[in-house]
Amino acid sequence: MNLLPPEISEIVAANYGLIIATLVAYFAIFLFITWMARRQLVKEAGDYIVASRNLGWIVVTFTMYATVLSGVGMAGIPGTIYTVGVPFLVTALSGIIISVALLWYFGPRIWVLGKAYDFATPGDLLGDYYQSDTIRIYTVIASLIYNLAYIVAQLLAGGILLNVLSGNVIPLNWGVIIITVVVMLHVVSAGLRGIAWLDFFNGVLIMFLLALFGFAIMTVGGGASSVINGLGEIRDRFITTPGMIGIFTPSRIYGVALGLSIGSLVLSPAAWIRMYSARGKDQFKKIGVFLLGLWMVSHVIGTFFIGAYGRIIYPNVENPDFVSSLLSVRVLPIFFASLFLIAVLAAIISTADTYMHTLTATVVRDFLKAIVWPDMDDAREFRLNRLIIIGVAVVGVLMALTNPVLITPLAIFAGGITAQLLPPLVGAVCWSRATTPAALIGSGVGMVLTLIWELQGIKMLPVILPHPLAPSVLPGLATAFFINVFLFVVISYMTRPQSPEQVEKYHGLLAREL
Amino acid sequence: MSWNEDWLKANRPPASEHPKKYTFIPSGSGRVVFFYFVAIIILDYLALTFLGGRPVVILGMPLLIWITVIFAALTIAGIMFFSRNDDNSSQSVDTPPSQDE
Repeated sequence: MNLLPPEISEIVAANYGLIIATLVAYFAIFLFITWMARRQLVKEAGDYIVASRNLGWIVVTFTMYATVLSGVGMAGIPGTIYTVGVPFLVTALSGIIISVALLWYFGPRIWVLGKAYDFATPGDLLGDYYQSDTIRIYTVIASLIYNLAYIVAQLLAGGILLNVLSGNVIPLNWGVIIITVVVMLHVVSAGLRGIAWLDFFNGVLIMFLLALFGFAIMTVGGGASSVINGLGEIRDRFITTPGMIGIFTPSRIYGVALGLSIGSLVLSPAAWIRMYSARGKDQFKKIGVFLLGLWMVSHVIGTFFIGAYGRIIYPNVENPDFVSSLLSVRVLPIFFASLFLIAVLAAIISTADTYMHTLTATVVRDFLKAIVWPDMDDAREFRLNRLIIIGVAVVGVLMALTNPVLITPLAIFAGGITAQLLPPLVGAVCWSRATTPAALIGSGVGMVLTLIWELQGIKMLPVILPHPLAPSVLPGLATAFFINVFLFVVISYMTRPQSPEQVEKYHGLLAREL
Repeated sequence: MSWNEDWLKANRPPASEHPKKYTFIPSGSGRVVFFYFVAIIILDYLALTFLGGRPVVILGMPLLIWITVIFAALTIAGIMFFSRNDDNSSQSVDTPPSQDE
């Protein structure tokens, strides 16, 4: 298992008092936010899951930013820019830009339907529109795969970081357990409101430090042009398509963006729940524009220069995911370097708490309440949410300690699963000709093919069905998505449409409200 | 255990009786919005294809990043322009009072 490089451990040992004081200060603020949010928690499922649909647009923006950024944005994306070059930055940003446009379009529609029919999860909306529990279970499967993949990666990364920040006082396994317990208690105590408020604080901290990091690199490196020219003989390959590893063509950039950004920022169950939780349908313009601004600054000024300068200073680093941590202690004053390491921890916590909350909410609402226990009342749903998160935490810890994996490939693959829900969502909110058989077959085939091709790609599955296209043409998840879209359209035209009542309930309402 | 596939029992009319008013590509201003965003995505893709391989640096930033910055600016401009009347629209679905701002 890869622990942080010895250079960081040495810096931590030399500045132990300062780092521990910063860590204690962070957790004191964390506890204060939990306490504040707990005071406002109404013990109902609707308040616990979607914060009574009353979060302001700034809070929604920062909770989406901090949640999606995660350890992937702070460590994985700079590490992949280090390996691939600028084309990977363009991949992440292109996906975010399209996601923001989709968020602006789908956000008000999801919000209106959620408000009118008391929806709290993706399964509520898709299961009800298509009148099918199989579709509902698709959303639970997507939620299980997506959220567990991220939870495991975050808990493992959090454990490693806590081990290093504590100067090896806290062993890795205990670090994972401590992060899990802290996150679980936070979610159980404060619900989505507490998660969103903590994300606001974490998001501001992360944004500030990424921008500071980028400016520090430009200062140390003698300006932006000097940093790029410092890449030497690899400069031209680093800043152009198809990148350092020769496969990031425009079609691959768009294909990977589908899973990395669109699957996470628009179609993940956590993003969906945040759309329900906004205070009004008119907030999505501000959320989209502000979110895009945050991402552009974070990636263009922060992660790009971290990846590029890391390539110059540490050309042969063993694990590129650690390049941002390594570089922080080299270019930032020690206080800000320790704060950066704590910001990585903050990003990890912001993702882990959200995904534990979301996974529990979808399992309770879309499996236990919809199928196993249909007459479950609100109070019981609320209590079950708080109980089942313990099971989610235990599974997360066990998987983190037994299956350590690289962060970014897992994130792309998990987003590819949730991206398969886009066609049924389009059918539910803007294409009334879509039919249930089309949603059942299209999404089902899309998810299975994504699983097979992406797991084969990261060698977690033997080759049972070869991906028909070269990696430089399209990644497996994008091919699976286009097959899903094709099946969805063709089968919709071959089968009978939804009932007029159902069409009016959804499309009629949206036509009147928007 | 209750597994519902109510769509099998629902009154689903033949396609010929299906109303044509809720289409994927909307009419009126919605059509302009749709084609605007499709056009800028195609423009970005073409720019990546034909300019992405050029090792040019402008004001300290690679051309690839500038292409993406312009794509972002066009997206923000589109969102701002096409939702310029939203702030004045009424909110007919009941909402609780503000909490976080």
